Amino acid sequence: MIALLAPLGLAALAALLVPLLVHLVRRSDEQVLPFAATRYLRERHHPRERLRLHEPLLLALRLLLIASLAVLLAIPAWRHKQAPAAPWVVVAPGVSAETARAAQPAALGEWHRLAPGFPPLAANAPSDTAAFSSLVRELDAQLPAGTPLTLIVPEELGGLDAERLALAHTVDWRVVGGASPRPAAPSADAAPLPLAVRYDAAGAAELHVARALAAAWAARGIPLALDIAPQDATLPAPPAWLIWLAGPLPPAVEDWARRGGRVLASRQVTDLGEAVITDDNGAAVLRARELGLGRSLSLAAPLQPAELAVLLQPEFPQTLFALLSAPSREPDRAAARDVAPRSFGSAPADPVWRLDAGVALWIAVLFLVERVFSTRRKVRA
Amino acid sequence: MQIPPEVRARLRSLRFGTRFLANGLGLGQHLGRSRGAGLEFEQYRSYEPGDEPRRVDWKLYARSDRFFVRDATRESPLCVWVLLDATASMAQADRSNPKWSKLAAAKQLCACLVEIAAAHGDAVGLIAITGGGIRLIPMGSGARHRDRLLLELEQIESAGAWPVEARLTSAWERIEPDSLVVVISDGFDALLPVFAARLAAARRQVISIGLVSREEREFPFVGGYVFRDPETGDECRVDAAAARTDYLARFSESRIDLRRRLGASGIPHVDHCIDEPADQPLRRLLGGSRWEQGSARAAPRRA
Repeated sequence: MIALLAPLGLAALAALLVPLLVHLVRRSDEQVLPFAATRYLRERHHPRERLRLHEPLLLALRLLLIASLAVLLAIPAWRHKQAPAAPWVVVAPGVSAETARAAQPAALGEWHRLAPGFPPLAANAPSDTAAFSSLVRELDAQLPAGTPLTLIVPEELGGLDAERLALAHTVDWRVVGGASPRPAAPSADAAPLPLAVRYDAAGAAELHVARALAAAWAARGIPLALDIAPQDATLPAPPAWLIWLAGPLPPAVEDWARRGGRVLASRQVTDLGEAVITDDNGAAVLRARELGLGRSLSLAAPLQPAELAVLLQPEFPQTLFALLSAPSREPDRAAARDVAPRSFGSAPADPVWRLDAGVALWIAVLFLVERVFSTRRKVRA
Repeated sequence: MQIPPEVRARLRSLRFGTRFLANGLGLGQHLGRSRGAGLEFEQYRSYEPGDEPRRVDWKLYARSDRFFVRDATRESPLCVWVLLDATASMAQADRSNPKWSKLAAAKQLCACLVEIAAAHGDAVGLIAITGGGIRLIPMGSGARHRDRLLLELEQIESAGAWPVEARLTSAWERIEPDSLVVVISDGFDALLPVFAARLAAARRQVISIGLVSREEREFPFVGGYVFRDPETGDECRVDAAAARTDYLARFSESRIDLRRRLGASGIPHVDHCIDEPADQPLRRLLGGSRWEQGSARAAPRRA
């Protein structure tokens, strides 16, 4: 079905008057012909003054050209009409299959997991809670209009974003007990937190500061499993902390951080991330950057009091600890009952293909034909 | 002036009839009206005092006991004047063939006449009448004169309107009595029939060919036109399709009127459409049995 995305563009159809006028105005050009027998003609029959259009074919071409331009301005699009599919029941992460089936009074249709690709419920899909809102919007855009949709979500829902969900489909929002799985985050529980320190030749001089930091944190009652090794030693599995004293962060370490690690690195030349601590001149001393599930803190200077005046401040270890242990994300959890999606219902979200390119090509061809016609040799009868 | 080969071939059978003979000046190839000594027997007549004794038919005298003299036809030359109308209206041509104007057709007719005359040893002269004046090539005969005439013919251009009577005096003086005058015109100028009638009244044999273009005859125009008269500059703004019937009626009426007026002066007139072969009007004017006394030679009348 062809639709116009900007119907006001059709106002350009008013320009159709221009070629009409042009072809009308030229109606009165009469041929002057030397004719020896003029004396036998009488001026009784004047040329008829009825409205005549010269070159109707050329006029039709020009009208078509302008009409096509107006259609182009109105942005034509092909709207793919989809038949409503069977009802979908989509289960959010954090709700087990059994709970979901129990919550649903009757099996209404296909059961899917809310995961990339929307696999069937039976499939053992990885539960990534990171993008609940995004996945729901994708589902909304993908499903044919009019498909009944049921979402089964846990009471404590994670993976939300700042925008309240507003969907084209009317959603049956069912809340069951449970909570979305949390992303793995460092927590001060009984198990000691692995704290790795990796250094190179230059970084060896900074080791004592690293030890002092660990001691300062341990003194605040945080159990730490300290692991000091040269830079190529293996890293503990994330979530873990790392103090990197070996120059620029290699990609392997960045990948490690993305999987949930927290890194404090010295001697970093970077302008990535937000300047958390600045010196008196406004230059960034410490930058913090989110890396996947983890975070990296970059110190511009070596981890030495001579180079890093801020080290001498008594509250620095505490500040650093807060930065390293802070939750890695914006708050994305809420009670599911409070974030039931709104429906803007009326607009069906059929997929749309814009036809601008085709129409523009058509206009170019029309223009060429019009030029050929209007400049061809005039053969008068 | 090129004459198409098929036209040239058909010209061979054409000749100027005896009616146009000059008055016994010299010897020519035409059967003369005056009779006398000669080879071709014409008639017997009774002896009159003064007839030479050798012309008496003595055998007939032996049978009838009366003197009879054998008369023979005299073969005489012919003087042909071609009077060519070269006014501006003769520039008219059909749009389908814009180079073939009435003047071009008239020149071809002239060339045909010159060829016919040259083939029979007749003398030809040309008078072209334009708005600017008269162009006159004197009477003459022979191949050289023919070539000169054809050359001069090329240079005639149409201009102006038919001149007043006073300017035609030189033409008057040149055209001697009993010569044949062939008038080639479009017949639109009112003064031309008057001039032709006066020539005819003064013992010149006049025949007239009126040239008509196909567009004039059929008026195939559709739409609005401004028709301009090339001689007067008058303009007429009409819707051609609507004006057609009226025009055609008036035009054919004018042609009939022209033929009637000329006929009243004893001038035969034919209309010739310029896209038809040039020998057609000549055949109708010269080839008809009206003047050609071809039978006189084959079966002489006996007294």
